[in-house]
Amino acid sequence: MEKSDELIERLNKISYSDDRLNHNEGFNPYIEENGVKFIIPYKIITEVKFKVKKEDLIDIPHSARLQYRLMLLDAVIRATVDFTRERITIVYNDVNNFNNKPKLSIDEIVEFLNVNGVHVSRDDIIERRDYDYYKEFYSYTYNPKVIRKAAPYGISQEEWDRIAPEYERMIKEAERKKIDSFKAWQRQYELEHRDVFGVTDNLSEDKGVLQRFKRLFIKKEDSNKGYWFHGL
Amino acid sequence: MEKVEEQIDRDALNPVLQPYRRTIEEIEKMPIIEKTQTVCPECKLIIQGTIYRDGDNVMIRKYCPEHGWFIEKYWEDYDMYMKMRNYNYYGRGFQNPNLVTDTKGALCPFDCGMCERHKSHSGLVNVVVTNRCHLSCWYCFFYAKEGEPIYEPNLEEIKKMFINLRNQKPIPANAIQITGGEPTLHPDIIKIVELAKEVGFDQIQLNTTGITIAQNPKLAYELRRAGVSTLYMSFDGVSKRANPKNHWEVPLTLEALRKAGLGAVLVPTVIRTVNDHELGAIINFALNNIDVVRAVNFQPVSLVGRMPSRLREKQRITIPGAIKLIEEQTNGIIAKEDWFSVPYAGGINRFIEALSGEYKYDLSIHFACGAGTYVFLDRRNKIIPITRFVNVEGLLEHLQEAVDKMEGKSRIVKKMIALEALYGIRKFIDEKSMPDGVNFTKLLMSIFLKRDFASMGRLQMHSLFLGMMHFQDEYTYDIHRVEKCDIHYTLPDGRVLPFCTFNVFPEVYRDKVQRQYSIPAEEWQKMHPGWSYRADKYIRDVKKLEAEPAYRRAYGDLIDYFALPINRGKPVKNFVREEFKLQEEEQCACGGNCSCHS
Repeated sequence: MEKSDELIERLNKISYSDDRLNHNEGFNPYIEENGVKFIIPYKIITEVKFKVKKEDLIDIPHSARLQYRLMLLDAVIRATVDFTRERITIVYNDVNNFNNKPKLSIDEIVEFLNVNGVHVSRDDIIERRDYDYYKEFYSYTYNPKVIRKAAPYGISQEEWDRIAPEYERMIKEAERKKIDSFKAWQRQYELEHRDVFGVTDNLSEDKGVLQRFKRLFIKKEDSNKGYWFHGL
Repeated sequence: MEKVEEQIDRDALNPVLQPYRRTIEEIEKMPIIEKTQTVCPECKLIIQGTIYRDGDNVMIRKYCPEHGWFIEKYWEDYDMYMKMRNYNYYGRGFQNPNLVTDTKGALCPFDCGMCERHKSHSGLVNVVVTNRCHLSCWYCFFYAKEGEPIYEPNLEEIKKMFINLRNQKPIPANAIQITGGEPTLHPDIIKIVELAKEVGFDQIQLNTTGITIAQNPKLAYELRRAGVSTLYMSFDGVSKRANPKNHWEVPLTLEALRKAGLGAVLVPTVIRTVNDHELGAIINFALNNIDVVRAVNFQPVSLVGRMPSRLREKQRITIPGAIKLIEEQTNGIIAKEDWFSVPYAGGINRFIEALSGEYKYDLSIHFACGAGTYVFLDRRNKIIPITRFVNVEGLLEHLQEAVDKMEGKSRIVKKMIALEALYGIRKFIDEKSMPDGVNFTKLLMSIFLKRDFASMGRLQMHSLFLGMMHFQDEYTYDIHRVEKCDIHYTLPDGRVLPFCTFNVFPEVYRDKVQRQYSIPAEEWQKMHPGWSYRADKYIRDVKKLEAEPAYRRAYGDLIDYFALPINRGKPVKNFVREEFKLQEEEQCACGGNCSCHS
């Protein structure tokens, strides 16, 4: 029987064959958000769920290894080997999907699982559907939901729930001030290195008495010479 | 032949380099420190790991039913391990993890993204902006080789990743490291930094060889203006042999940074038998450039990829191993007792958080991942580690007691407790032993009361931070360390990963996802006429660089601080290179014609 490593190499080679990569002429690998284009390698791909036996999965560590092996296939985008629920969920790029990335067929996926000790066939598929990569995966990772809370040290959760909105407002205000402060520092830095940046200070050019008087009272921003930390 | 024989003799005499010859029966009788989860380096099966004591060393052993035993050095000082283990706590992780899985992180590290199991928020996030590089270092897997697709996200894609990081809860990522490949090859590198500042990052590091800045010093000014806080620059040694990567360019880079007011962190990757003899020399080099070098961050080598066990034994070095070599090479001035693991500093942050009611960094990484200390160089050129005038452990316990007292109290009472605690800080500082010209008590008070980066910056201007960061490989992999990691990478698909998952399993994370979001080489060439892999590569003119006055000053005019009587007066190898000393005639304006030179 073919070993898993050899099969991964063979399947990856097949998945990159010209007829699988190139028959999707006209595929647009971008998505537009608010008028801006972002690369999206996939649009509609495939999710398949298999009902499997715990004996085949052996235990959680072996399930993790099988998940790792599935992920070695370039056509597999996500894999979840759920020992407790006796289920394997694979999001993959099927040969019928429209894009120019490596692809595998459902039979090749079944073959792979069998070589890795999971005895399944097409009859063990409990669900197979279109998977919208952009909506179901990409959009979530870029906008994940809050699933739990934790108050700062020294403050109870109840107290924090009460003061959190005010804290958020203060943080936004502080962020705005921070950017203003940085811009002021930038201006000062440019003036300090005017030979490099070719900028001029209107005050230094204006020799008027009033301007010279005003210059005495202009606060110089701290020249921030840069610092490094790990976490502090 | 002679050199080979010398090498063999040196290996035979050095107890650290001896092969590890123990039977399994002997090993199983040795005291166990703890059990953990790890992976088989061959097949990636998750297996149990046992961390045990073997004399002075802490080792890890693991057994794969298919591939047998793997035994590796984990930590080269048992006493230091047990001391650092006292500060090990869980952080808060993410309230909004980027990936929620049905298995709830049970298959760690193979369902990463960051998942709800992760115990630390992002302390520093690496953002890869290109996989193009101007060097081709034999040991590197990060750069695009001939024919490989190009990964180079555009400004909007990078901004999206930045915003994703700033939206983390409860503690948004506040520090990023822009990396590659070589990030300065990205045509929009300045705009990327400006974007990072706009989005709100306080700390922006640029991970670079420094070569581009040496070639174009104006870039240093532009990077500083755009908002780069420090350069994170590879520096594997003072000699050419130890640092073939950028030995010739570093002096020019430092001069450019000095003029631009931009700091640098020197980053040596430490490999036993390769550059471990230059650790003291590297610190001395940094002290000679303390006006521009903020820190030296040593990285004991991470042996990724298959290596024979004997070669691993010879090249493996851990954090305490590097610390001990530093102690030897610095006449004991920087001793092993001066180092602390990163979680120690978490106590300070907890105090500030309890006082201010604002989220602060947890610093909850595993104690075995990193260590650090500050050294001060005072007016008399005396080198003083922070522990010589600050009772660090006592101070942290004092602050933790204050945090415990503040729990559940009103704001006014908390401020009173905090004031009392701050007043009590003085008893942990020996003002007579403080560095001459540095009022450390005032600096520390400023940090606590102002709680801003400017205060931290003032501390750093007077000191050199020495850090250690030991990234894992498949042989030393400890899942308990991974789940607490706070040095992360962001992926273009929106996921965020710990460093030791992204880089130890690149075949399912880094390389896989970058391939998905890359552009094939032929298409890239059409988009960028005139571009080729070859055109990206840097070709060095060694003679020209060695003739530069900056080069000869940097390596020939060093003060050997450790040889000064005030620092115990023992010269260390590789500090001064006679061939680079400027000739007296060259130093004198007369050009050699006056009586000074007769």
